[in-house]
Amino acid sequence: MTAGVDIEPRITSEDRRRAIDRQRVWAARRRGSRLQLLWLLIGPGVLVMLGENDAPSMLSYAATGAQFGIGFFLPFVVLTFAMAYVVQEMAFRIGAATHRGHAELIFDRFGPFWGWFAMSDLLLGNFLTLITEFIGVRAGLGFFGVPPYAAVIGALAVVVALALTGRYWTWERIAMGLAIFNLIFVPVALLARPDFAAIGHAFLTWGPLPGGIQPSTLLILVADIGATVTPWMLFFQQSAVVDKGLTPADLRQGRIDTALGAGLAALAAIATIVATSVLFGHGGSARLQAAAQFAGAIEPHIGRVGASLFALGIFEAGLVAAITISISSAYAFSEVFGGGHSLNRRVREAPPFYGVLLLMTMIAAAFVLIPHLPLEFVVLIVNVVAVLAMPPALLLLYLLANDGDLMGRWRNTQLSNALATTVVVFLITAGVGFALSVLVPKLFGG
Amino acid sequence: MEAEAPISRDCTADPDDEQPTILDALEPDQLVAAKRRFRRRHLRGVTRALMWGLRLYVLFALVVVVDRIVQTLVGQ
Repeated sequence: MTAGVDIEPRITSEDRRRAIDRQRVWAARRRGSRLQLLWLLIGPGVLVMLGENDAPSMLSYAATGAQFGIGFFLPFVVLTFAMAYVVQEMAFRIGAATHRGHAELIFDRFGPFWGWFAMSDLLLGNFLTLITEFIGVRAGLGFFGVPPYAAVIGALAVVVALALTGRYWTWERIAMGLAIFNLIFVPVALLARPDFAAIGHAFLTWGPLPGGIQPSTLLILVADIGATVTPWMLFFQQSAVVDKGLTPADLRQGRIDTALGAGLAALAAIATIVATSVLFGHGGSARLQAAAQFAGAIEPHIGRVGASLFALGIFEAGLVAAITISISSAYAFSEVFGGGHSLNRRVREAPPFYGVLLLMTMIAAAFVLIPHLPLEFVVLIVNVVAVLAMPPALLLLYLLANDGDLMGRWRNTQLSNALATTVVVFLITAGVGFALSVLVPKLFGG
Repeated sequence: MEAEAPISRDCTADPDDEQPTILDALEPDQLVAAKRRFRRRHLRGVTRALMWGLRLYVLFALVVVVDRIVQTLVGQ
């Protein structure tokens, strides 16, 4: 299944730091302390799911609530997170079984031709998404009067400082501490005094869907799918699992980690839709790109505190996603080009890894500060692009997860394959539907 | 591979501790120096056709997205 070791290998500082984490896991397992074991092993799943609840995603949910109110999209969002779980569980399992990152495996098994296609999708998508995260940071803090350059440079400093801890464990725990604030949208929803009967009705009936299926509905639909399943998540979780040192012995906790992340992220997404549903029927035609305007728009309905929490939530979503997405790019790049790819290495031990992280994040941040750039279009399309790029990424994931030479007894089951195939078909259908709505809008009453 | 390797060291141990503990705590192929490249797998038949089909789908869809952006820009 994996390459053998003929002679005793050289031990690096990365190995030592990872071994300390594994020693803690072993000790917790020996004591039979399930909660401590879970605490030690969760991380990549929670981070990837809450990281994907990023600025454009939360704005997509906000636009959903404003345009469609409480109805079809509540259960639909739960469905998308269920799909995300199916996909991410495979990425986690591949990482735990092979101890190799996603980009590394694609290049090894399928060669550079297909590898570069996957990498170009990832790096382009990540760069565009990083820009939108800084737009979210700027918009969220802008509500409190923080100047754009201070907001963006401050967030950049946090992303870089966190990456420079030289310890995966430290990075992961701080990032998780920040990510949990994604649930700030729950009190915002409660301040909106939601109609719980309507919410229950929506989950039971998958309705209503005001206006039916039309081009604008499909755009929101595709954007909401893109808010939950994207290529960077595959690369991030698999590489983070490897960096954390998870093994097949940790499969149970890893699945709980991924499911917990999906549950928390779905809760935050639903809360956001509910919070902005106060705009539905009040002329709330908020657009995806109206980042800063959402907080102001809902203020008359939920008060200053609620609006402030909403703006803080957008800021937090952008910051946490910038932290995770920048690392995902660095992992992928360094796995392919070498030079070390671990947060358990110091900067001097992995210059390309930290160089890519720093360079990509700085350029994305700088874009947001250039005056008069049409940044709103990046926000508008970033989730859509993510959905369109996902099917080829899923096919590679599917092939890896079914690769007996790599996965051995941990290869996909028939159920996993059936679920993965369903997700791919669903994503392609959504993408083609969106394409048709643009090319032949009459088909959808446009 | 599934079983955890036994170790007897305090879990707050310093990262600079000697090698045997490290070797025990990690699976053999988790060690940086022990990593090997996996053999190339050549895609054939249906899989290859699917890969090309999905790649063309992405290119087509991206053209649609660009078209949508242009329409939006012109509309403004």
